[in-house]
Amino acid sequence: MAPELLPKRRCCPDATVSLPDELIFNILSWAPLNSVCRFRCVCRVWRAVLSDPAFIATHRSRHAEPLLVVRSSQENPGRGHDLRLMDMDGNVVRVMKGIGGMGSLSTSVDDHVCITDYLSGRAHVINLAKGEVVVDCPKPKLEQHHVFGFGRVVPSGKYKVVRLLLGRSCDYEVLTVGHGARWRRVRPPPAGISDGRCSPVAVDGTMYFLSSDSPSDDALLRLDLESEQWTKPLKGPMNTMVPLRWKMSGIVRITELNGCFCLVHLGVHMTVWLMTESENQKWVKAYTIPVDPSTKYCMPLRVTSDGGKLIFFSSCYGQGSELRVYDPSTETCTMRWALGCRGDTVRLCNLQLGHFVRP
Amino acid sequence: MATREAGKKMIMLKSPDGMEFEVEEAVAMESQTIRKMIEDDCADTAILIPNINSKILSRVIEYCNKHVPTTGATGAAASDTVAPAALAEDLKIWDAEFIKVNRATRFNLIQAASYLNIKGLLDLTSQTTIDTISDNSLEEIRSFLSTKNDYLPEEEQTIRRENQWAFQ
Repeated sequence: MAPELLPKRRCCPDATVSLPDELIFNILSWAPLNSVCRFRCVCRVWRAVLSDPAFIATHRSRHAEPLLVVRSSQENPGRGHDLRLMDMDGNVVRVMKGIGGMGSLSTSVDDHVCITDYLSGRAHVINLAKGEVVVDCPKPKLEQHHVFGFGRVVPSGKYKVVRLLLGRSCDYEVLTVGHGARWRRVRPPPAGISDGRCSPVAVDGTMYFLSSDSPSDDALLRLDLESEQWTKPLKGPMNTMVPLRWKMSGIVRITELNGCFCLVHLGVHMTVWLMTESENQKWVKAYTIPVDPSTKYCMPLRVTSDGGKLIFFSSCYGQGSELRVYDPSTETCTMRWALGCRGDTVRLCNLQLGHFVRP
Repeated sequence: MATREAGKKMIMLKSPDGMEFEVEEAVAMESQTIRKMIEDDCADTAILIPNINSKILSRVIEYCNKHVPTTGATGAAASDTVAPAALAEDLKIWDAEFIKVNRATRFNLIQAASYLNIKGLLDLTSQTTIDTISDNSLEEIRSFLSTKNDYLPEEEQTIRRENQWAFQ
């Protein structure tokens, strides 16, 4: 802000200089998403132009980096946890007060996320553009460990929530988000599922789960979201033994990275594996990044288009969380910004201006 | 066409208030508009730049001088020992100083950058302008960009309600 430009102007001859509309809208295309939404209230012409597909496309090109969804670890007394939308430079775009629980946060699916709450056992599906809970999954009847997965069916684009209640009697249920949503039972998976700190991940219509069985095998279970059938388990990329505690404690995690299914192993290095061809089960070791020994959590978020830098989120014991960037050309890591609060969870989302404005 | 030093073509730019600026061709060609004139052979003698007064034109030339690519035969002070990242950082600092101007000059630079089609300068001036105003009130924005509120009161209430989150 440079308010000194504003008050003076009213009484000086500079005020006679004005810009043609075309250049004004070019300026506005650089504004952050929340400012553009606010500027729609300036006048009728602005509202029309700022909702126009051409403007939305220009705005998208100016703000190519995806937004982050940050779930605060701090609870508002009795009102849940805040969810913030932030840009990659750490500017807050939107705060959704008390909308989330303190459980797992799904990788975002377009403009929706699913948040669970460890304590209540509930799960919410949230439309990030509207800031609304669209599905409130009630607590299961029995006190059971539960795992929630959230993904999108290909090609119908419908959202589905998968709920696994792990206990003596395992229940596997699927719910399609929409009017009159009800849980349907699905067949149990061919192997046990790990209820560690890692949520299932949906990529391209398939939901992946870390298996809890056979410690020497790093198998991943796959559920086809359209047919709701389990398909052949996928062999993981690591040829070493993967103990169950690695999956329980987050040493091995799964996520989505630039549209690829991704497995992350945190040891002396953070090793990032990408599955490039699911049919041929072809894994590529994309990054091996040295990390501080006190690192307890690492999650790759995005590979940049300029030089394949890896943006990832990490936190160390006794410290806050950071967004870091690894540059493979120099083999160095730099901190982009610190989140401050310990325990904040970060995911990417695909929100853009088009999700917010209606002509 | 004027020439100065070995192998450097010079171009004469004229502002409507009668000032003449002799610049290296490579510098002038930072402007895609001028580049096209030169490539189409329309620039044998001096090029008249309409609507851009000498004060603004000299600032634009200053920008182009700084931003002309340092490779090639332009003679700019590029050193092979300086890392590209350091050069980019240096340019950023220079840009930040360059753009510390009042509203009228900023708007004139935006119009000049648009007319002369100098993408870097248009982006710089536009971004700096939005950074200046994006947190201001709607009334201040209207005044700054000379726009009038033509909403009916109830209409304005509705649209504000729809975008309420963005005001928080």
